Amino acid sequence: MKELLTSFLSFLDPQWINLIWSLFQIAIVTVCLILTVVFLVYFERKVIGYMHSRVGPNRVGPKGTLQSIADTIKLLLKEVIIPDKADRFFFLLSPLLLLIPALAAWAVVPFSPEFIIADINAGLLYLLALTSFGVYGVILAGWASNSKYAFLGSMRAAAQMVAYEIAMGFALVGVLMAGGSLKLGEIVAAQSGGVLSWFWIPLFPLFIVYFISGIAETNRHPFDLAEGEAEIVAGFHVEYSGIGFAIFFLAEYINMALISVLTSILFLGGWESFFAGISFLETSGFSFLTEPSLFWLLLKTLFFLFVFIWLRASFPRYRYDQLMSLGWKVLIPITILWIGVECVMYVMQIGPWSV
Amino acid sequence: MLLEIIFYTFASILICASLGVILFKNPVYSAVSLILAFITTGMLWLLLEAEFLAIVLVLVYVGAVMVLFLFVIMMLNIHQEEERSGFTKIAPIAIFLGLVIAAELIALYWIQSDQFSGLESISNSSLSVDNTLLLGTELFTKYILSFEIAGFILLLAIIVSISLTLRTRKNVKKQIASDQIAADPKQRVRMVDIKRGEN
Repeated sequence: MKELLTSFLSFLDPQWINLIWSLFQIAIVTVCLILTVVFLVYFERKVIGYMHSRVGPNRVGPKGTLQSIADTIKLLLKEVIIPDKADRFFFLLSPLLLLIPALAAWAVVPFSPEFIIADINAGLLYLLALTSFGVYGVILAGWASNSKYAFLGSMRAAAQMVAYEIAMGFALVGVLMAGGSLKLGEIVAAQSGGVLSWFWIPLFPLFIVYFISGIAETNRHPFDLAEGEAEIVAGFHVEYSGIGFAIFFLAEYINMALISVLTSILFLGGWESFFAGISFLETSGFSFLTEPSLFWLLLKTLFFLFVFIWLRASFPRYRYDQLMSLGWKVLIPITILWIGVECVMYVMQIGPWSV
Repeated sequence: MLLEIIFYTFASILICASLGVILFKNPVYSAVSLILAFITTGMLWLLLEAEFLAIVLVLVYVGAVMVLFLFVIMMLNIHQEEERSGFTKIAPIAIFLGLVIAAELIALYWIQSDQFSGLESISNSSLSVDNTLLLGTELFTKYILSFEIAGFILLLAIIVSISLTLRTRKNVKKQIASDQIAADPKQRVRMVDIKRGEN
């Protein structure tokens, strides 16, 4: 692909060809993500439907598969209402402030051994920085709406995201210690060699903490205090209609997918196969099952997305003080403790790093 | 060519954002300009291949500090007029201080420019060695004592600020989860068999 581009645009400087190539990759990933979100919404509504013993959407298209597309078109055509006393600039900017970091974080996600947009040295730090960015979209949306409900929602969301970021960061410290690198590709490479050498076994508490704080970070059930319908209508995006609301929605789902893909990469071996390291499969005709590929990453990601939806259908919402005490008094101590345990394991040469 | 375009774009955004911090009437706008300034500074550091410093700047200042700043500004709901009243009084002092800082930087750059030759070698060596790794090894071997002292001071600051703001109030009804879980349903519900006609 890139050779084709290089030969076609050979009159240009190599720098510019790299730029065009990156833009092309970015466009592909973005379009795929948006399509994923469209079908994720359908998937969510179907799964929750069956969990609630109803059918879910079944009118638009075969088995209702086009429901999300119909909804998207409806949202795009709706009138954008800007409240009279709202701060117009930030009201219009804040959905983008949430969407842009959500999309930009995908730049360092290694989809397969070959395909990664930017394999930067400090990939893990970059992800932490970018996920902490999204909070501005939420705060400014609440403030710019000039509505008490929206403001309360954004305050809740911001405090929650700041609190859970710490637990998340500590969980990532554990991964960094085990992987010995900040590069996501190298972290996956460090987990090669079958299910038992993935990080979820030695880092099990961190794996759980990371996923829980991921749910809290994306403001999903059971931590969606930011939009608690019963108390504050719909939280920070209560004043948004049409495309503004659609962008918030899109950003939330892209963040969900990001947390799922990262959990798979950091703790479940990313593109590594479930069957890698099983010798009789490798020698017989099923060796394609043991090869690392994008398929395995997508499968793991899909599983975590399903867990997101599953939790949404199963759990009641947390109360705000319970949420805060879970974050500060349970998750953070667990991560600190496990980093200590990991240090001991490292010194004693137990675990994946016993080289 | 591309590098120059990127540099000058970010540098001009940085200058505009920094001006925005002091010139905007609305404090929320000022705070957001400051965030933009931090981000563009991070970008400029990235151009110098100091990716660790750049990302940590964004992570700490944008990800944590400025969130709390915005929180406070929004909660206090500062009136714009009051905020602006002292501007003309402070302006001469601020301009003077700014000039002093600029003079210092220029002096440092022109008079002692040979001192910076060492810095260049660090940024060049980071091409082969991971920048983060390099910083980590330096901090934990050569500068371990000062690093530990800095860490200790920060820990002290955390403990002091918590102990200053911690108030234990009496007679507050609090939820104790373990008691709730340990509650015996048999003691909570009494089954009464009411006979007909006996009231």
